[in-house]
Amino acid sequence: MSEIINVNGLTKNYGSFTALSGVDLSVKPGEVYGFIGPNGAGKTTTIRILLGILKANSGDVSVFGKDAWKDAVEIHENIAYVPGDVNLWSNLTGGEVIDLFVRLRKGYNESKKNELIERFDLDPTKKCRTYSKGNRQKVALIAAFSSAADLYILDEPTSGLDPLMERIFQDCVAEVKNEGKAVFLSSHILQEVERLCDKVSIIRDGLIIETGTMAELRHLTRTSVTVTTERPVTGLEHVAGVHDIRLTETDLTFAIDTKEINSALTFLTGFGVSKIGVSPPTLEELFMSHYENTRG
Amino acid sequence: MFAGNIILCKLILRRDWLRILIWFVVMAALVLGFGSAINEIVGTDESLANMTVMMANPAMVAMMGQTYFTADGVMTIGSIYATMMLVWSALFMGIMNIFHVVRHTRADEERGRIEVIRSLPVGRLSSLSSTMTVAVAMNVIFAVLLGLGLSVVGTGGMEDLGGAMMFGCQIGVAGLAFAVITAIFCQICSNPRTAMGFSFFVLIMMYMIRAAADMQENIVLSIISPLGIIQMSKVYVENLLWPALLSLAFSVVGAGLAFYLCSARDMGAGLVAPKPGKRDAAPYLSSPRGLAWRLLKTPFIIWAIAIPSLSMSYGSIMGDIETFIESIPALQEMTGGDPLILVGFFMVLMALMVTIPSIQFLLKARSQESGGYAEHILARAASRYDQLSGYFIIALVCGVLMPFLNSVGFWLACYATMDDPLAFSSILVTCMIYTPAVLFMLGLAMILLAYLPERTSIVWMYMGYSFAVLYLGALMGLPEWLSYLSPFGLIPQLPADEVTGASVLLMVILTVAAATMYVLGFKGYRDRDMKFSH
Repeated sequence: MSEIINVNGLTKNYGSFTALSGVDLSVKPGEVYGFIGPNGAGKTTTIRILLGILKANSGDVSVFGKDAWKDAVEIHENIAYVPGDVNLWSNLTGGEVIDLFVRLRKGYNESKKNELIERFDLDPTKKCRTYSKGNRQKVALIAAFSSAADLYILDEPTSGLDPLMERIFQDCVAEVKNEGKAVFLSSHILQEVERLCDKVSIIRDGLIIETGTMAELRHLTRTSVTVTTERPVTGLEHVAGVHDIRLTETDLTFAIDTKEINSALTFLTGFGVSKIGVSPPTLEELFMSHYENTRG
Repeated sequence: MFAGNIILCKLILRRDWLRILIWFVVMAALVLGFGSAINEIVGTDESLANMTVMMANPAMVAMMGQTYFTADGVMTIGSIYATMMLVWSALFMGIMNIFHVVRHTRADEERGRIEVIRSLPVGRLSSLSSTMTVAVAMNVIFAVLLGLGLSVVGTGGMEDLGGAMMFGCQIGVAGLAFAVITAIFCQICSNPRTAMGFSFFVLIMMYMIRAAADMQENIVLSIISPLGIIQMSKVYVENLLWPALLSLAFSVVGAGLAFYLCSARDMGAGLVAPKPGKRDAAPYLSSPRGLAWRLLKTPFIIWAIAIPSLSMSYGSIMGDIETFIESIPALQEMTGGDPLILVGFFMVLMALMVTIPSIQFLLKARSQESGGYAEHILARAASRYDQLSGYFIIALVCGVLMPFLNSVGFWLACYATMDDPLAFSSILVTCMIYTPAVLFMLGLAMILLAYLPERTSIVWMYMGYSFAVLYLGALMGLPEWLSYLSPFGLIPQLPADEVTGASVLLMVILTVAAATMYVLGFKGYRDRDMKFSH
């Protein structure tokens, strides 16, 4: 079995609204696959089709080489899933829900479960109605990572977690990756995807607009730089890859194509840099540069 | 401590004016509706005498309260009315007050609203004091308006202003007592559900203590219960004021305790810490069916207690059924004096009643789907059939078990009150004969769930129609064919009706149709997209 997920020409309509049009995806074992796009782009719809909860209008969707709709139950024996919006039964405790979830799959690990409850610092004796969004996500993550699955499907799993818990989540992803399992991670946080993923697809309005390794996509990303110099900067607009120069009383702000960052910094040192701030590109900026690239 | 009380009172009124108005309409319908109708029921000396005998029946005393007489040793229309209505009106006032107090103290606290309020220049006790201020105002206004209303609509001695105002006063006082009891529980418990649970538990206990007190004529027990003490005022006969004053004194002390507890605790906390829940799931919680049972267990048990209780209360009048029918002209007209027709009428209503939980349990599958809960299950190794079958099986069991419990409750009451009780087997058949109609309704719910998941409320409309034609239709004499449009109307109303070949055929058709709809329902649910509400 070479591919864990194989999607070809997937299309999904809701009445006259096209949620997905011609989506292609392919995920290999041991691969962490990032699926990024803004809200409403079709990430969750794609995942629900992968899980056989929604039915595709056309296209081939196979997981472990089986049909995602027809063989859903069989496929799910080897899948662990964390939904984006974790709604839990308000009168069950977190511990009860975790037990239910892991028992619904074959083969889980009691000690792994207890270890994860400890690592994620969850109180499993509380009713789910008292949990914050982050705690509900922890319940779903603990249940997912205590199962010995071959594919982990994670839909924006960290949106309610604090930075400390995000780290633990990233460790968990790294562990299952090392065991040769595949991870399909949807997100709208580019940094998270950058840190974890081997391969990325960008989806927007139901259309995959870019697919590749993170290195291949580097040309799309732009870093924004704010700098204060001893002498006024002149001639920056002639440096390759520099865009959107804005000058305030004290600071100079501009965007730079990530691959050109070295030449810009070399240029700036000539003016005596006294302060510099660099912020990574946001998803929005990435889309903007993507559209500029496709136009230009 | 009480700064901002008035502003917070206005906030409560701004949020709740409609809610309070609806409660007032409900209470007015109950108190004034029956107040204006009672003269027709017991207007003649003969029916008054019949009713006096019936009210002395121990089952009636337990349910409604002790009878009391004038100096001449007779009951008046007013004293019959008050015996029938005082406890139950007070009970409704109690329910209203429990909801009101929990809603504006614990529930707001849990939602973090009180945190926002407390960050403003308001006193530590203002949330509780504004809630109680509004509760007092509400009870006083209800008491006065209902009392005045009763004196206006009442006839045959019930227009007596003193008696009518005393009636209003007693239910207001009882309502306030439950506001205070709830306020205390809201300080002790750390979340609204346990506070509400304890308050309702006390309400039911107080009702039962009163029942015991009335049956044993035990004065001490009567004084303990806010629902018992108010009966000692002997409304419309003696109009004693001291029971109300004594009850108010209890309330003042209780309110003092609630305010003290409120000032002594931290916000968001209760005096009793919630006990930690289960760390691990019970063994049965390991499949979609196990989960369905876990989610529906509590309502299932509540219904399984409520249904036979209801049929027992219906059944308890069977001992005096002929007197009962004679004393109410509308029933006399409907049944032609035949008690068996009335039994059939009860049973078709009970059959409609037991269908409610059955449909509810099946449609739980829909709310699980739309709320995103089913997604967790279906993303694991569970098929659509696994997911739906749990709710379906529980609904099916409910649809068969509840009519059985209904017949048991009815039979027990008959056995206790009748000299020559109806045979259990005939009661059982009378109840269970509606099973094809229940199964048919469940089938309709299945079809909607599978093919029109966003329109499942259609089945409730059909239930509403069935209820209207069979209940009101019988009382008001609507054309009979209207009831044939409901599956419940197609079934012979035993024991008075006869089972004919045609009705057997209809029952077979209903059952086959139901089974077909189940199969189609499972198939449709299997083949469609899950529909989420977000």
